[in-house]
Amino acid sequence: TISSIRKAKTQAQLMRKANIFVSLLVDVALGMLLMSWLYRKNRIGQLADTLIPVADHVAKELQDLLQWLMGVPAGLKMNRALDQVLGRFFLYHIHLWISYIHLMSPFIEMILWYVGLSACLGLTMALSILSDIIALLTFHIYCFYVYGARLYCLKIYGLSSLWRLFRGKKWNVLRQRVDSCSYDLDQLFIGTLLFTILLFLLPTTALYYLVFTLLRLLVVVVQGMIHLLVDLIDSLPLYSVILRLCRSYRLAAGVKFRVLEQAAGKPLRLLMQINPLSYGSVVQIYRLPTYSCYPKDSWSSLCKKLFVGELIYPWKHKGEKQD
Amino acid sequence: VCAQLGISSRQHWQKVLYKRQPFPDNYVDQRFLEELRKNIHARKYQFWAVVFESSVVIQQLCSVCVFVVIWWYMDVGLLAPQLLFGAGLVLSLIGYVLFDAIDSGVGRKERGQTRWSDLKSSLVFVAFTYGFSPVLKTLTESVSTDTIYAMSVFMLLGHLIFFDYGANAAIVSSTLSLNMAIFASVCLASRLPRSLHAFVMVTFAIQIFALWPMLQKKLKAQNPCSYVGVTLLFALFALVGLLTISSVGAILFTLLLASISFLCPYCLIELQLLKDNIHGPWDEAEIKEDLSRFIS
Repeated sequence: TISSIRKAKTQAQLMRKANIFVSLLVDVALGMLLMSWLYRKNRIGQLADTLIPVADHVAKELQDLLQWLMGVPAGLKMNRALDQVLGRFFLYHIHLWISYIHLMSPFIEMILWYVGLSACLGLTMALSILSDIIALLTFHIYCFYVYGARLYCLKIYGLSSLWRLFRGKKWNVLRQRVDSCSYDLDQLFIGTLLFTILLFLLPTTALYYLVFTLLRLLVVVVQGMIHLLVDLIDSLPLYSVILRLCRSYRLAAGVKFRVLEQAAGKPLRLLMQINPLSYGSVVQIYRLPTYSCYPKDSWSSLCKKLFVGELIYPWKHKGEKQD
Repeated sequence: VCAQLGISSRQHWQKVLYKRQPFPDNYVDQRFLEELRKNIHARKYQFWAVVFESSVVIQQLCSVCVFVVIWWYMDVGLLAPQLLFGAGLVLSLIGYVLFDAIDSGVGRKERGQTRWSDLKSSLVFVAFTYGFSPVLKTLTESVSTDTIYAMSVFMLLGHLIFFDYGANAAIVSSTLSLNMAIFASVCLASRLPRSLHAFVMVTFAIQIFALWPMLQKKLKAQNPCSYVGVTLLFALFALVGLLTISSVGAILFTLLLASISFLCPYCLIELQLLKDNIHGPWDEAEIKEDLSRFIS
């Protein structure tokens, strides 16, 4: 195993141990560099000072966006009553969020100072903490996305069920298909009334859902890129690349022969030289397995989930159990 | 062919394929097409019987006309919603009593519905509609008037097409027709000035599209003479109402009713003479007996 003290038996194990060791060393060195840069000239304090205005600015942008949605967004005509209700609800949430940030503002500097200390454990650690901080700061966007998605999902579910009632059909749970059904008069009446109401309120809900989903996807993409960077730093086999650079005879892809002299009557003399691996195959063969994350859904199932309103958790970690 | 065959022409040609016969494959004898039958399923129609049956269509057309006329009056402001609500209530009560009188308790026992459950469902309707009428009022504020009119026309047409006139066709769907009528009424009701108007409009739509056909169907089955009288009175009422709005519309509507009532049955009977269906042993077999006894 990697962490055993005994010498590695095979060359592959040796390379892996060496790669991990060198990667760790480089990581910690970069982390120390980052830390020394952060703690010099009170940069932590400057960072903390700019954090509150940035959060305020983001909240103000969100408020402007909601005011735009409550008006006549992109020329689309929304149902005014529902628009006002949803807009006020979300504005109140932003107000709560701003109050929370202002409450936390005296403690930000101290928290950042202690968190910055963890950079000594490596650059990848600092990047992961940055990703988590981004997630915390955009928590309200996540909340809005969940509200919007749940409302939209409920509406789509209700609409599809009532559309079946409109045509006189019903979903047969036992046979998993659509069957015809004879409804009572009062069921028909209330069903059609609700169908009409939901249908006319659909554009408003759909627009709110679209806007908040786009924001959430933006945050998810940013987090994904940070994770990708961390993954890259972790899995790059630095030792192997340096070896290929300096002592290329240690990494052999094969041998090649060169003819030295060919005289009549004398035996043929050949020179054997080692054909080193190319850089691409070095990286590919000696890549370290990492705790990487990659997309859980294919494009088509992602689009289907977006259309129906199911909540999206796009990144899956290797080794995570699927439910 | 017979001259060529010579002595073998004394053999009779048999319409079988498992015997080798001296005739060519496409040979037919004089019994060809003996089993052809023409127009065996043609029905003989009586003119006045067909006119009587067409009254169902007349009734539905007049219902739609009356609904649109009443909506127009409410939109312009000539009809107060309280007046319509009171009139509708009184007429519904009269119709309910009439239904029970004609029915004489038979159908009610079959369906197992008591008067108390009828009262409960009507209370549910009224409460639900009254509660949702403010929502209904503001539902189509942002949609343009032309779209609303187009949608209502489309829905009312669909209501007329899918209505159950008594024919046994695959296109008939009473659920779909009723739902389309209610959809159209909600669209139109959302254009009225206040939420009380919307409430009264939707209740009136339910009365005229759901309860009135039920009463008429029962009346037609039990008492055809009074049914004809009621149809004529209803058509007259619709025409007079339409006349007060637009005389061109009234004339067109009269033409439509007359053509459906008299022209179409006449054409149907005349065209029966031109029918030319051929039947024979080449038709698809129809399974006429009940096969459920083979399924255990």
